[in-house]
Amino acid sequence: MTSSGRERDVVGPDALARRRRTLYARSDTYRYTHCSGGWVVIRIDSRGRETSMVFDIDRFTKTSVRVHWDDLDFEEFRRNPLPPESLRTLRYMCDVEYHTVCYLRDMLVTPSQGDGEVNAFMTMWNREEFWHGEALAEILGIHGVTVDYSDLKDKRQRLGWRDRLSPVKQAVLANIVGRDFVAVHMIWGAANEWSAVAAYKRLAALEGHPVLAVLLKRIAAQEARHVAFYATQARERLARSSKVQKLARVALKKVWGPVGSGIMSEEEVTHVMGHLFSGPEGRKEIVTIDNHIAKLPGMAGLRIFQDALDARGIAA
Amino acid sequence: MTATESPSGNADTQPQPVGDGNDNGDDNGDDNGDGDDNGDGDDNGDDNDNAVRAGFDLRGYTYDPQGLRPEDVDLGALTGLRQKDLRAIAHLAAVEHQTIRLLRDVLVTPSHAEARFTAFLTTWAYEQYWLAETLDAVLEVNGWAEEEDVPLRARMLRSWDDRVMPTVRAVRTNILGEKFVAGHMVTGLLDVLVTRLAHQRLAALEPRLVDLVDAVLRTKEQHVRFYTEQARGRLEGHPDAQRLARRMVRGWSWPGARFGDRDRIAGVLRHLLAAPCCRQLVEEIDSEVAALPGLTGQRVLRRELGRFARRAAPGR
Repeated sequence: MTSSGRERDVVGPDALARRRRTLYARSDTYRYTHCSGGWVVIRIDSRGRETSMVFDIDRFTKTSVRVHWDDLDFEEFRRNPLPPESLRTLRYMCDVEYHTVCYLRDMLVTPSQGDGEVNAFMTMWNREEFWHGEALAEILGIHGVTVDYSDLKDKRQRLGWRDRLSPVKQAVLANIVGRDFVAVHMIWGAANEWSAVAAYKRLAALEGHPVLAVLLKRIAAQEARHVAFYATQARERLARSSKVQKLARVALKKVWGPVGSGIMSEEEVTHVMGHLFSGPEGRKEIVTIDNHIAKLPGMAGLRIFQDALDARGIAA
Repeated sequence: MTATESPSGNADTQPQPVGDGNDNGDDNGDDNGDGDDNGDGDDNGDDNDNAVRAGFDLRGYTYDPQGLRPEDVDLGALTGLRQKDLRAIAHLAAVEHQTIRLLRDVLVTPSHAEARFTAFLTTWAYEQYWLAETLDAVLEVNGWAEEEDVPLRARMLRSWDDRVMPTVRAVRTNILGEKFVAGHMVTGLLDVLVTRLAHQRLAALEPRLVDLVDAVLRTKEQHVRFYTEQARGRLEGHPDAQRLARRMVRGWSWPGARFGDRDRIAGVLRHLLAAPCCRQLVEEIDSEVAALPGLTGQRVLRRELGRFARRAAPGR
């Protein structure tokens, strides 16, 4: 046994993989196979052909690490500080990342909880997002914007009953809708993660700050893995029935708001959306996200991100 | 993040002296763990953060989790374990796999606003995930295939807890407010103390597991330190919190017992804790809990084991 408890990318005996191999051996729909140095799940169509690769949860959990910035020279922020509008956007992102544990809570009161793979993903996802918050808080701290545990607690408490009753709302809806509700969570998660990737990339490009760009690229890379999970799950679950598709479509169209809109003021949401996605380049990113969503089963024609920008008067 | 904690010690806890493993003990604990419930006075729960901030190095803990992984263990040396030991490992693996459910139960309460607590829980869930996977790996190399036959009562309870209780808990605890958090710290502490005891006993009964258990204990030691410190700080001088904690402690049951086959768990506990030396170990845990403010006289573990002892038939 090694004594070090430090994180690392790991190889070696893998009980989970063996268990899954046995499990998938009985499946007509999936094949568990070794590919490119790791075990992957391949979907099989009705004629026995391999169609698409499914998200590899084993690989994801094994390679899930906190985002690293020890090697980056954060002193560069003192020499070359970020402007106020970027700090405001960064603060928004930081709060949203830290709030992940509350999103997790809302998912855990629905049937999304209980599935082994979903639970494994959520455990790692929650930790990775927490560390995104830590990294951004460190940068904000250098600029004199303190984000500490007391501050986060105050913020969560200020959300009041809307936040406290959020799991109740989720649980009641989930009990009414049943397991189909999981598909809504998954497409919701995919939309949020796609926008997170786009937002980090846009901020990196807008600022052109050498250190910030590297850190945001690392965070965006982790968010992209989250996209892969949510999108795979959403695609899979939406494809099962048109009823689920209708439900998800209505939820996105009528209830969805940009990530963070449930916890931040409308003023802040508008600032961030405008800062990152106004102008032709920003709009291009937004259209790309809408296109991703529209490709999911039953979601053709949806343009929720463009609608969100238009509703806030953010010009292309 | 500007968390301000002092460095933590990292006291290792060694497995307790080896019991002979013969089932010759008795656990006829009585059931008189009632504390008085007449706590009154205003619980000025606001900012008792200061009272519980000292000591535990939360930053260090989140930064460097003791994520024991299957590849850290020499699985080849752990083949051919006895059925009784494997059954105990299977029980512990099931308990550690329950983490996400526990996480939900805590997050729907006012505890979710406690950013220090959620930072801890985020890392704790990560460690627990890998601990459960490691125990699964040990079962795997031993060809363990025994499936737990979950009784109907437990299945119905689980369904009730998944579908209804989060809502009830969210409404009830949010009305009661922040003083509820202390109770979570106490029951969290109890869970860690008893699973630590179970792991210690496992190593005592099967010396080949000592290395594995040693690593588990290092992880658990951190959890004990966190929960103890938090529980003490939140109970001290808060009669309402003490009263709620007493109630929660009385409702506490052995981890996994609510949804598991109690007869089967009784057999596991008899295997692990029946040796005469265990009386002292059980006493120590009860004393540790009873030493917390407002919990004097509670003998919660002895009472719970008494319930199990009454159902465990010899030779089970």
